[in-house]
Formats: sequence, structure tokens, C-alpha cells
Amino acid sequence: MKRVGVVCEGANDFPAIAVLVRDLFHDRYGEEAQCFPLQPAADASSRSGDGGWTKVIAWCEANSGSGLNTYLRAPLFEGEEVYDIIVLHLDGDIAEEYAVKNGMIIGDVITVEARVGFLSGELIRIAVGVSDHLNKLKAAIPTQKTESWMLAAISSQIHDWEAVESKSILLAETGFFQGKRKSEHYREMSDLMSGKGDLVRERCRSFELFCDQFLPLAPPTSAPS
Amino acid sequence: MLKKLKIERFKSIYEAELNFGCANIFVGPNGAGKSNVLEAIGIVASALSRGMDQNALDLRGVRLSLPHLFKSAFKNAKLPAAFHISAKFEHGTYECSIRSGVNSPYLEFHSEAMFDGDQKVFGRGPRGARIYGQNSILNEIDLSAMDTHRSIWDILGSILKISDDFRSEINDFSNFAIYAPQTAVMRGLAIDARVMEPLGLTGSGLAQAFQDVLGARVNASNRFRIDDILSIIWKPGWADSVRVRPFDPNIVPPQVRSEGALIYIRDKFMNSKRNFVSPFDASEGTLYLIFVATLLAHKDAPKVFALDNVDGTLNPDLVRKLTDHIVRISSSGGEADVDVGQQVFMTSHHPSALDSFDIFNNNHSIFTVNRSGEKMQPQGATAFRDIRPPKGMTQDDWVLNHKGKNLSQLLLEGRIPGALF
Repeated sequence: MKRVGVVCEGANDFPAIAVLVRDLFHDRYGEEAQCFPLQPAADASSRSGDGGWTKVIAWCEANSGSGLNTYLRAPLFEGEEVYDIIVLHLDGDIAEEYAVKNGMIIGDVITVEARVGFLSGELIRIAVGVSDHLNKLKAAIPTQKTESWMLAAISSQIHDWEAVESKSILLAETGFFQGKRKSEHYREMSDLMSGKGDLVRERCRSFELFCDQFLPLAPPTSAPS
Repeated sequence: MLKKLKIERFKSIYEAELNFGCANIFVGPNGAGKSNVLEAIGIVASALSRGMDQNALDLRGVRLSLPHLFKSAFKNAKLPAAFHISAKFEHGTYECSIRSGVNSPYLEFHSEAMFDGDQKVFGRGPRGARIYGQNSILNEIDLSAMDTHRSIWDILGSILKISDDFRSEINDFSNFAIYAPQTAVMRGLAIDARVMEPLGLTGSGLAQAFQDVLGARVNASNRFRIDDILSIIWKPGWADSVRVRPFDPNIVPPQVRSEGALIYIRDKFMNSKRNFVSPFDASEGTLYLIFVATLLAHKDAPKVFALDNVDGTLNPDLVRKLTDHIVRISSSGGEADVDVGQQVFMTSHHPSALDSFDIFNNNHSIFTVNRSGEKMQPQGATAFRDIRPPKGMTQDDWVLNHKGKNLSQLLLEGRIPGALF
């Protein structure tokens, strides 16, 4: 069983990412994986605290470099286990805002690859710091929002998957109604995503880029005759 | 000192084994079972004094639930005939199984046994009881008519031959009580009817107990230690003197129910004609500090005791100072370096309380307590976890690994498994 820590923008992102990561490990390596939320951080008053992209960046800065050791190398307490990898998630639609805040220029219209590459590069750069944890960090950057990946997995309609306002469409298509707890609805939708990783990869280039970070198993070498 | 406690089928605790130090703290969500473990200790203490008598349990701070509610009753788990507690001390072991029935007015002994070191002292089961290793009269004594709610130690303890060390341990431990001071009681607005010497579990009798402590200061050898313990009272910074005097209508409002004498606290910033306040007007935090200091310093207070959520009304700085104080006094005997053999069990919801504990020190124990463990069977059973550093890791490496964070920070970041939820 692989242990995967997940640093994501919001509590509702976690269940969807967890399902996709679990399927990815199963399909690619034939291994079971269990995801654990690292951010949004639990706080003293509730199960998960505030989210938002700034908290993801802050988590990477706070645990940068050797700070990752307690997650990836040696645990803090006896009986605890470290994580095999950590998935760092950001919604791609914050790329412009992030660039402006950091005095960067990314252009008015950028490709999916450029957007994902820009944010992935920033996340990994900040988190890795001076350490050798590069291979254990994977960036999950949906071009717009995690809901794009969810919509791609669930929807029977045809959409421009990574360009639409996926959140409102997803909620409408899945029959969300006022009065229902949104977190519960997101969990239910995430359950529906199980086994749909191939479909998401086919429909969303950004998810394909996420999957590409997980090396395929080397083909078996033939025994010398 | 109580070294180890094994609990089975008691309230929310299905099965647990806990190793204790001098200073022990339980942290975890509400309803996790923190108070239950204190009550399990209280039941052993009661068994080693007056058995399962309701009054004896009450005086130890064990909630007087209906007898059948002491046994755990998890869904999909067989309802046990009895709950079982085994207590290992430095010099011996005591274990008991306690049963109850829906119609039983008392908890009753199903079985019990005591070992002095490895030597069995007595044993009791549904088919009878027997004494071991004593003279021929005692070894053959017929215990068949013994009340089922009284323990063998309660009836025969004073004449049973065991080592002095173990007897001393039992004597200290059997006075164990769970203290949960209440503001209304300490202010004189409510009465706790339980008569408990020297200090009531909720704070009744505080003035007299504090007066006793002041009286003990006349002995120079005690003075240093007592002053060290009482020094916590001045930490909030506004009080510089506490005295015990009769009811003074110029200071105390008439609604206060006086027990004869009252504590008066001097506010060092007020003019000399109006600088004393009674507990009614004093800060809640200072009352709690006086309570804890009195408990730690009074010569007749239990040496083994629990403080249930005593820091609930204190600000984080004061929580840290109070817990530092309790841990230091109980672990070392204070600056006077007198080993008074105190052992304290605390529950807390305050992250700052953890910062007084050193997870590398075996005299200190932090337990996280929760009921959300996915692997716990049956589901919802209380899970305890003794928070220790990884085996073989040095303290320096540990500090470097978490970048010098306090345990309170790690708790709030969710890095201490099981502490938040």
C-alpha cells in the first residue's frame, strides 16, 4: 500500500484527486494507494481549515527542502509512517493572479502545457528547495479547476472540457440542490469517478500531464536464451 | 507509582494498555474517552480502599453512572459480563473484573487478584476467594460470605503481609482522586456536598486547605518547596499576596456562601484600603492557580491525582506556565529536589499544555485519545497513542527535522496523529 500525501486548494478537491491517484497507482503499478490530506490543514476547531491557492504555496514554503523530510524520509513520531509521494495541487485558473503577484509575465493566451508547466514548475521549485525530494513530488494542475477533471469523468455531455465553467456545469449536471451539503455532494461525485481515469486523460490534457509524471513500469527484460 | 494500566470493555475503551510516567497528559477531541481512563484509574484506587461502594467511587471523582453503563456495549460486539482493569505498580500488580447487572444497585467484583512482585497475595473468582503466602489461619480463611462490592484489600489489607514498598505504593495510590475545579464552587456560589479532605474535588474547602499550606511553611525545610509551588499564583502579575480570613462583609457580597473562612487576594495595583478581593471578584484564572498550587503543596493531598480539564479558563501563556509547573513539580519534587513521589494525570484541550512535556523523557507521557481510528475494532472504540519520537532518533535530530516547532504548533498543524480528531 502506497501512502500519498495531498496538498490541495480546498477540502472539496481532495476526494476527487484521491480517487484519480488511487486509480493511477492501480493501473500503472498494480499497487493500492491511500491518500491523506495534508492541506487544507486540520485546525483545532474543525477537520479542515481554510483553503485557497495561497495556502498551497504557503505549505510548500513552510515545508520546503529539508522540511519535507518528516513527510518523506523519517517520521516525526514513533509508529508513524512517511509518505511515498506528495501530490501538490493548484487550480490552473490562478496562473495569471500568481504571476502578477510575483512580478512575472505569462502572456494573455497560453496553452494548456504552458499553464500547467508554469504552475507545476513554481510549486515544485518552492517545495523541493535544497533537497533531493524532486522525484517524490507530483504537481496536479487542472487547466481551470479540479471540477474540469470531475466533469470529464462523469459527464455524458460533450464539452470543451478544460475551457468551460466546469464547476457550475458539474453541479447542474449532477443534480446538486440548495440545502444539500456541498462536501457530501463532492464526495458522492468523486465516488462516481472511480475507474474513469482513462476517460479523464483522454479528455483533459492537463490530467495527462499529471499522469506523465508517474513513470510507467519498465517493460520486462527477456531472459537470455 | 502506577506504571501500567490495562483496560478492557470499560465504557468507550474496548481494549487499551497504557504505560505511564510521573506526568501524563491525555489530549483529544470531546467524547474521545479521556475522562474514561481517569475513571478507570479511579476504580482501581477505589478497589484498593473501599471497594465498589458508591460513596468511595464518588469521592474519587468517578461519575456515578448506572452500574450497567460502566461496561462497554459496542454494536456488533458481544456484551461483556464484566469490565477488566489491571494496574501494574513498581512493586506489584492488582487486577479486577467488575460486573454489573441492569437491576444491580452496585458494581460488584467478578474477580480480583493481587501480586506482590511475582508472589500472589490473594485471588478471587466467581467460585470463591483465597489468600496466599500468609500464616495458616489467613491462608485458610473462609471468604465466601464477603460482600461482592467490597474488595479483599478493603477487608483484609491491614493484616496481609506484603512488602513495605508495595504497601506504601498502595497507600499512596488508594487516595487517588480526579479533581475538576469549578468556578462557582470556588467563588462560593455553589456547594459541593461531598466532604473531601483536605480539598474538595471541585474546589470546596479551598480556603482551609490553603491555610494549612501556609501553616506548613513555618517548618523551614518545607518552606522552600511550598514557596516554589505557590509561586505559580503570582504569574498573572496582578496579585502579590493571598491570605485566609473570616467573612468580611466589606469585601464579600452577601450572596457568597461562606464556609467560615475565605481567601482574600491582594491586587498590588490598588490602594491599600481597597486592594483585597474575595474569590467572588478575583480572576477565574487565579482561583485555578491557587487550587492547583494548594493541591500540589498540601501534605495530606493525594500524591497520585488527576486534573480533568483544569486549564479550560486560562489563557495560553498561563496554561503553559501552569503545566510547566505541574510537570516540573511532579517529575522532580520541585527545586528543593525532594522526591515526593507525586504522579499526575491530566486531560486538556489546550495545545499549549503539550509544550511542557518532553517526549524524550520517559517520566513524561503524552497520549492522544480519539475514537476515529479506521482500524479500531470495534468501530468507535477509544484509541490511545503514546506520542514518542522514532526509535533511535536523537533529540537534536528530531528538533532539526521539524524545524524547531513546539508540540502545540505540531498539534495545530495536524502533525500529531490522533490529537485533533
